[in-house]
Amino acid sequence: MTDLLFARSQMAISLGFHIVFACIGMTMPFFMAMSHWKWLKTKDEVYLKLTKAWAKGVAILFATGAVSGTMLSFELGLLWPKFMEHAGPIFGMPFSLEGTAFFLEAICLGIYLYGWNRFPPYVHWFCGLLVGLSGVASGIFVVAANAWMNSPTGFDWVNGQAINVDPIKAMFNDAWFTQALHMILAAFVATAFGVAGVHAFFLRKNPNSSFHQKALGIVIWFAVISALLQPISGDLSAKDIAKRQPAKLAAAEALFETQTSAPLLIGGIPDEKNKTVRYGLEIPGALSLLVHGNFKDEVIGLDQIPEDEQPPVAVVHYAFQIMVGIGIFLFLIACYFLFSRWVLKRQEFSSLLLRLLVIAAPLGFVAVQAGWVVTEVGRQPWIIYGILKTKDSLTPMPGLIYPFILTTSVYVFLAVIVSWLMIRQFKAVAGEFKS
Amino acid sequence: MIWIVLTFLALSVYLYCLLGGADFGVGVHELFVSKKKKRQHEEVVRVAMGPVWEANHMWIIITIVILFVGFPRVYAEVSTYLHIPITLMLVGIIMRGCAFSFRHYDAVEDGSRKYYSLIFSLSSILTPITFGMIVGALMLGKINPEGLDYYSVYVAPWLNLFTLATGFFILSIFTFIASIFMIGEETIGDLKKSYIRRAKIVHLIMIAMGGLVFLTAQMEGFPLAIQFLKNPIALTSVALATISHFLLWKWLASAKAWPLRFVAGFQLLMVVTAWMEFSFPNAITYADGSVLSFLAEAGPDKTLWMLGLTLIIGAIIFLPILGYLFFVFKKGTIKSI
Repeated sequence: MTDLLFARSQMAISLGFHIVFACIGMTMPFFMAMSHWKWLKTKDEVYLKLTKAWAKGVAILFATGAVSGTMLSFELGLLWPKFMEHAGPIFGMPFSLEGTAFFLEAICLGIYLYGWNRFPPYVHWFCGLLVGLSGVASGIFVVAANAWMNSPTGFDWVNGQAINVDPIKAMFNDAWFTQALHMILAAFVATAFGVAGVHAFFLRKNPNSSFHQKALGIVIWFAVISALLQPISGDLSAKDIAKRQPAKLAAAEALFETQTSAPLLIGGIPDEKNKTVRYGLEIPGALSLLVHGNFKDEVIGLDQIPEDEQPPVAVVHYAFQIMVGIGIFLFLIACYFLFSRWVLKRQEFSSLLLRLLVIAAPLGFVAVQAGWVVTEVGRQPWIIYGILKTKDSLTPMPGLIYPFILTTSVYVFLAVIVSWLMIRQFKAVAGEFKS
Repeated sequence: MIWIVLTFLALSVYLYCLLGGADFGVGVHELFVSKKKKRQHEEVVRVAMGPVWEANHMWIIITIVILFVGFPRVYAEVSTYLHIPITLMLVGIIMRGCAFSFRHYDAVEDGSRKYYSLIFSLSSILTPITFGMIVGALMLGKINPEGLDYYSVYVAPWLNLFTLATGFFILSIFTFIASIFMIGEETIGDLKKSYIRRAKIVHLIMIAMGGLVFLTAQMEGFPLAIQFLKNPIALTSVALATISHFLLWKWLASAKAWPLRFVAGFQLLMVVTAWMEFSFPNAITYADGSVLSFLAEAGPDKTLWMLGLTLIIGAIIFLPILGYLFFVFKKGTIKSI
């Protein structure tokens, strides 16, 4: 492997690690605040215990997210100094706002976690809600920064230097809205299904536990609503990418040739050498329909992209399939839930639904990882799309295998400990709420 | 506007050293608590640090964001040539934060606690030392992009007697601030007394380390002492810091928590001021004598304006909230004086 590949892998592992905790840190405070609200309204002790159990989860996972995020803000410079030198002043605006929002999040979390009985109840509750709101705000800002890498704007590129920098225009680039919407919804989908899966698991063991029933009763709505909305946002993203980054969409769909009535490819093994796809299922005209709204229009394939500006096809295609596949699966679970609740009028959770939720627990996070692979690998070879290539922004320091090994070991070590720690939490909670 | 941005940069570095530094120092102190008191002491640490450590940690992020938005070239150069110590510092930051919150929230209390504590303490030592080495390397002027081999470009600038001395100096400062902080937090009588004793010992070590910084600078061919004597503001700052030692010892005798905190904070402010005044406007001095100046390398005007405005608005909103956070959780210690 080359230094470039080690640096990219280190970045991928760091982002992949961070995004899990970032998702939870953004969205779980809302579950917690909802349960807290119910406690304030009903004074049902179970809600209080649930709030505290979730708050504990938020605390552990938020801390991990905060420090791994710090790591990222340094790694951008450690690995890609040339990129940051150019990009810093242009896309720094959302970063500084992200820092600000994150600061608020940290303060509110401190107040919330340690503030029981120290504040008026509703002020305390509101701080908990603010943790989630500022978390979502910081998520939007940081995705806006990433969106700028996909859709660079707000500067003029003259002789390899950025001039006439306009940070506000850069922040509100063409991609920020679709990307931020997709990510925030994804965070809700992943976390809500993750939490729902855990409670469904325990509910299958102790069907009468009111603790787990109430927990699932709150979190299922977050899961269902976000899973129903996500395909709409995905559609917006696809249409947007088709316009701005045809190479990325072509790679995701393994569309080697530009064609009218372009088919939608399901599955298949792209052969990048011979520019063909084996074993795929093609739905005629469906890609044209998704992108342009009719069966006819042309979709740009990889043949229109210069050879040295094409992203890797297979990785992006597989990742895209995984993301979309999971999205559809979770969408169907959401439909099934609404069907059984509204049409069949079943108030309790059926055993099939619980089983599906347990299976779905990790899937949202898998989809988030896959989605980021699509957007990041799909942008290659560019780090700033159309402006600066990833290889040209790499640090001159040789031997990048060593930082790669070091950071990877740290992340693997932490991942193992966090998982072990969460299992201990679940067991402790399960022991307390046997019936 | 550049001056406002620079002020915030200096302020965030100072606050990270003060607040983050105190949190790191607490981890160092933990290594020196007897087995019997360990559990009790950890509880005090939990109450003292728990609500605030994440907010304290934010200052380093603010510092980094100001650097890469406002002074991108400085950020790029520092992270290229000091890649290794920065990576080590990050490992320390990430391990410490995780170990602290894991210890806090682990559902089962068993042997694993010992390991959380060990990681917490070791990484609390690693981070200040590497942080100090980075500071030292920036001042020393051995950063050499033209070096012939890996060692001379990526290792030698930060691994030498002077940077080691600055590393341990910073470690001793953080540990000292932590002992002052903990005098006010400690509720158990013996431990409180032990922190007063510790504060005195660490204070002496800190002064010795400060001397060592000047000595090793000389050994590395860096006339720090002479240049210092020529710089009136840096000199005055150090003089004020030295004079305030008397107040410190007086209040140590009577264990007055808040006056002690103020005077320790003041001392740190003076040390940081001296360092910054000494270096400013240069961010990096290279081996060939050329410099990278904050003033010359600032980002475009429009960016600096936006950054400055964000910082000002942020400060107006956040400093009161932050103050409130500290007030709520630290008013116990105000009362206890």
